[in-house]
Amino acid sequence: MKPVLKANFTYTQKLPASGEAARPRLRLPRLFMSYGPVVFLLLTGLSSCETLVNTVPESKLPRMESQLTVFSFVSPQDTVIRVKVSQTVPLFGEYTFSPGTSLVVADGDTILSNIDSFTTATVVISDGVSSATLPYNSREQVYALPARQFPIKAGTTYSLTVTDGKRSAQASCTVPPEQVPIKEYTLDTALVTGLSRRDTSLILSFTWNDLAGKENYYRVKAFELFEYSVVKIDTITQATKEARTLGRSYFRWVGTSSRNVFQNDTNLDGTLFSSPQGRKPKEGLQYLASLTGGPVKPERGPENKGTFLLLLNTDSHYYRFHRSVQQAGEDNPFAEPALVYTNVKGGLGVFAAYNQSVQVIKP
Amino acid sequence: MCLSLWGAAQNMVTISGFVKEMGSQEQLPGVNVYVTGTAYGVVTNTYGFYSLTLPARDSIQLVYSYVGYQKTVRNLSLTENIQLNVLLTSVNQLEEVTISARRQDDYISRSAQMSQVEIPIQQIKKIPAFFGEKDVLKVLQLMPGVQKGTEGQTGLYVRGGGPDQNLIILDDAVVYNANHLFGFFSIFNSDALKSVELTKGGFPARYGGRLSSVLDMNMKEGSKDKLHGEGGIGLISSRLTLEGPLVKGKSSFLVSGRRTYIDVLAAPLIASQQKNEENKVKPGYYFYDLNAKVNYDLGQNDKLYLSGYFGRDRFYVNEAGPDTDSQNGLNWGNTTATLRWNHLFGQKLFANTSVIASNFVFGINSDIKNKNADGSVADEFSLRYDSRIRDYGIKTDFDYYPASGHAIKFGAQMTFHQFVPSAIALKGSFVNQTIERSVDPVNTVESGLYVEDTWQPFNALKMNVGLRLSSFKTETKNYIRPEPRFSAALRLAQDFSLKASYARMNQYVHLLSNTGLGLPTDLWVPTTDRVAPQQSQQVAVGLAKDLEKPALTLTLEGYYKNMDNILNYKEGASFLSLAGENANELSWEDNITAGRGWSYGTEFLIHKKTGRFSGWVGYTLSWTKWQFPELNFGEIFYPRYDRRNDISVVGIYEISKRVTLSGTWVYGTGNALTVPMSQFNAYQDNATTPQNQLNWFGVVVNEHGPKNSFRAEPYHRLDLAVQFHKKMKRHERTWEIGIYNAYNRRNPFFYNLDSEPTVDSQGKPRTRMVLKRYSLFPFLPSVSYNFKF
Repeated sequence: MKPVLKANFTYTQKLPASGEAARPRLRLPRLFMSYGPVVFLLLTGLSSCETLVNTVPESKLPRMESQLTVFSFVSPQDTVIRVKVSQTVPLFGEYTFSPGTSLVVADGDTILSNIDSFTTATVVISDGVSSATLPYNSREQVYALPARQFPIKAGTTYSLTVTDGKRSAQASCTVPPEQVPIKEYTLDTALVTGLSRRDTSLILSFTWNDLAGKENYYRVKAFELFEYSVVKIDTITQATKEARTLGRSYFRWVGTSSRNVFQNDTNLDGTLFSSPQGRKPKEGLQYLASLTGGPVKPERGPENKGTFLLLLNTDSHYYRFHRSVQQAGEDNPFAEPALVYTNVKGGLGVFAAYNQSVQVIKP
Repeated sequence: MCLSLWGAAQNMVTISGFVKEMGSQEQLPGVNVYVTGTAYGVVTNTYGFYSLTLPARDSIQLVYSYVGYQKTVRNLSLTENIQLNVLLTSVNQLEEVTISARRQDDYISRSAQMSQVEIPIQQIKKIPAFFGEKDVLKVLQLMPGVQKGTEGQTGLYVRGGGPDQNLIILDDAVVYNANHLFGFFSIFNSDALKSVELTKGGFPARYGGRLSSVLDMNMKEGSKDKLHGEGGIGLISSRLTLEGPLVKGKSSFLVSGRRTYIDVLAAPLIASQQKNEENKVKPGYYFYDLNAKVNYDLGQNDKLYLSGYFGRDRFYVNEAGPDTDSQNGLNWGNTTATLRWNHLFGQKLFANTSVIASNFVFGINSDIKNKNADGSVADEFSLRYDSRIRDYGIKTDFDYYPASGHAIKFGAQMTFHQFVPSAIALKGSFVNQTIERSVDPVNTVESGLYVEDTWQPFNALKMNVGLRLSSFKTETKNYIRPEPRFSAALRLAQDFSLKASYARMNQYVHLLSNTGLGLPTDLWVPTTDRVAPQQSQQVAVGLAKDLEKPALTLTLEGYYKNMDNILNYKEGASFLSLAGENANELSWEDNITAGRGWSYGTEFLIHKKTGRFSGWVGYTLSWTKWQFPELNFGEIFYPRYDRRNDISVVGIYEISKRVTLSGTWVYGTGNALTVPMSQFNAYQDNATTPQNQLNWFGVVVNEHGPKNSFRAEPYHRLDLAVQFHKKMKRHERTWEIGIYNAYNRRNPFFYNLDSEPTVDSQGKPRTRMVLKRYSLFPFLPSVSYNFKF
């Protein structure tokens, strides 16, 4: 099974890139700007005075109780309702994570591995008429319920209640009634030559018409669906066997300085919207297996099964939460920190909804 | 007797003229001119002019009194109109050790104006200063109702307003960025200044354009008798002022310059530290400024003044190494020029017309070259950023003294503003694409019309009633706002008054700042079609009492101010944010959000302006609150500089003619800050199911609690200085030894999260998260040498 895990890890490294796409690209000058004066002051004699940096005694720090965190995004197009339940970790004092938690650093972000779930909560979703309890799925580490058991309908308001006996968190959201169709798209193949690499990339962008007379929020997503081979090795016979499987690889969005992945129609009601430019290298990866130290190449390469363009007509919670997480990544000690949006009462996190339209480009 | 004077109004005569300093002929503003034993009195205007109209009498005693000058009395027979120019002798010019025990008659209880702070320049020069660099703005921070922001910064926070809400005027020209060295020094060189006056409330109608305060400064004109000089050599900078006549009795000049040399001094140190390093980093910083003024006396009725200020700051970091060459810099500076013409229309009407230009520029440049092993360029990056504001204005003001009991001021002003909020150019392989955005200049016109009357309907009541009509024209919109102003003083007993005031203010230019420091990156932007003007209303009531012995002034004031349409950056946005939302081009309008604020508080001041021992004690109890729909999720919060308690104690003691001791102590409640308190994983909508196994990644984010709910530790500090004066043959010199932060208090500058290794109860190594406090200035001694001739 080992080689499979290895192939899997290739994915996990790729994934943050799609979520991370909208980060500002101006890291370097920003840093210089914000810290320049301070660095200068420190240089001119202050760095020598170690005593100018002091630790604030714990007794003077605010005490924070751990709070429940709840995250869930529901949509009529999704087949499963998923709710991630966890809790906050007070910062000060000994910095220990619950057992089994590990830290991964990817693309400059610290990512807690998703083993910090809370397994003993009661999670109930309701549409005001009927309600359903979501059981805990230990493999996915979320509370999940197939949508066919509790359908999510456009235009309906849902509420979510999470209790762990002591604490209780509650949130609600309304699914936007409309699906907004994609109007036009362009998909090009380009040869990209960088410093260290040279690959064939897919370059994508698309447009849509804003719904006039309403407050709208959008999010764009796109992925390539492809089929590829996984090589399995029989440890006894040393024979290799290829199996075909389907994978998704998401587009990364560039040019996000002027067009975000998340958009709203304030001042732009009823106008034509366009996505940022989506890019991804064409699937050329060969999934390798190790056979006594030597790599094994699968016989068949990956095969495109379609490019999926997704336009999410989201509610404001969805938009504000994602924007605030983007902004929370900035770290100027003088700037006012950006607070992460929450619509959860009695806890933190977000319960948001969207109505998604899809355009499939066949290979 | 008063009644009989009022009754004899049929035969009125006017006495008018200029009050000047003996020797230099410097015109003195703010001199009290009054008739002994009556309520007749007036204060000289900015140009030292006064005019009094009173009933004819055989003999009157006219008194001229001004802090720091010998009181002068004239006995006159007043039967016809008289023009009388009077020279006052500066206390410093007196040979004997007369530290005049008798107080001067600048009784605060007699003026209708309230919420005003005036500090004699002589006193500013005696107060201990950071590195011996005397700073007008830092002395003003020691007054109640005026607070400092962060350690060492010159920004003034007046009654809950920010440093952007202060109208700073130097010789009629508006100064946009009053900071040198990222706000640690102000651009005002006290050697070149004649008067400094700060108004916190009850604004007279002649001022407008900012919400919270008016800081009116006038440069000296230059001595008309002979060449004088003044200068100093300090640890950070040196300065020199020269003044003297150009055409004897007609014309004089003043030139004042200052430059820092920390870059020159630090260069060899930095070089020696990097002797063995491959990469040579050369950081440096300097600023300089120049004030100049000439005036020409065209006769009794006309005078011309031309004055200017020019200053530049430059900060740079250059790096040279085998892999990288880079040049990075920040430059900023103000330029102002004012041409003024004084004209006298008879004895009762004085006019001044000014033509004003003001310019503020700010630029960033960064060029980075990464090199290959053979020295060829591997990749390049370059950034240019420019922001500019330019003003051209014309302003005319009239002082009209129609009859006793009235002093009318009226005038008009028009300023043409041109803003270039930001223009940016980026290229190179670090960025995905070449970005070149230049924002078209925004042209706007700000104008104002005003009239005000200082009216004394009867002996115990004095008031200033005024109206200002301000307007601001953007490309398509014209904002017109009336601003009523009122202040009054009612005498309750001898030298004891009750005062009240109301003022409405509009602010049409805004400063966007998200650092809380006086960085040049703070961006001035105009009111536009989308961004409405800021507006405030302030009411203040107070008591003022003057005591004869000891010569003290006591004031107690309470105020309430509300501010509408105040601007702030949206959370996470900054001046360099390229992510203009919902606009096809970059627009700063997308990065800001409007809200409201209100502040209230009470201020207490005991001030002793004269005598061997002088100084003051001030105390402020205040609250400031903000509410922005887009900040803190719409909940009310305390802005960073909300300060519950603020105390300052200032003492100057003249041990002898040769030795002066001084000290200041300040205390202030800590700033309201947002500090992370816990962490959690924020799960975005990025869950995917490759191979039917869910991947849902969280990003670690901080939970801060409500905005600004953490209070920094209180700020307090003691500064001391001793000055040794000596009269030499040709000049006078002063050695000053100063100590900043005498008891070495570690005041918070900012806080940051950090992790620290620790050991748990079982002896296992662990990591602990801690909050670190960064302090800026410890105990700092300084020495400086000053001279005067």
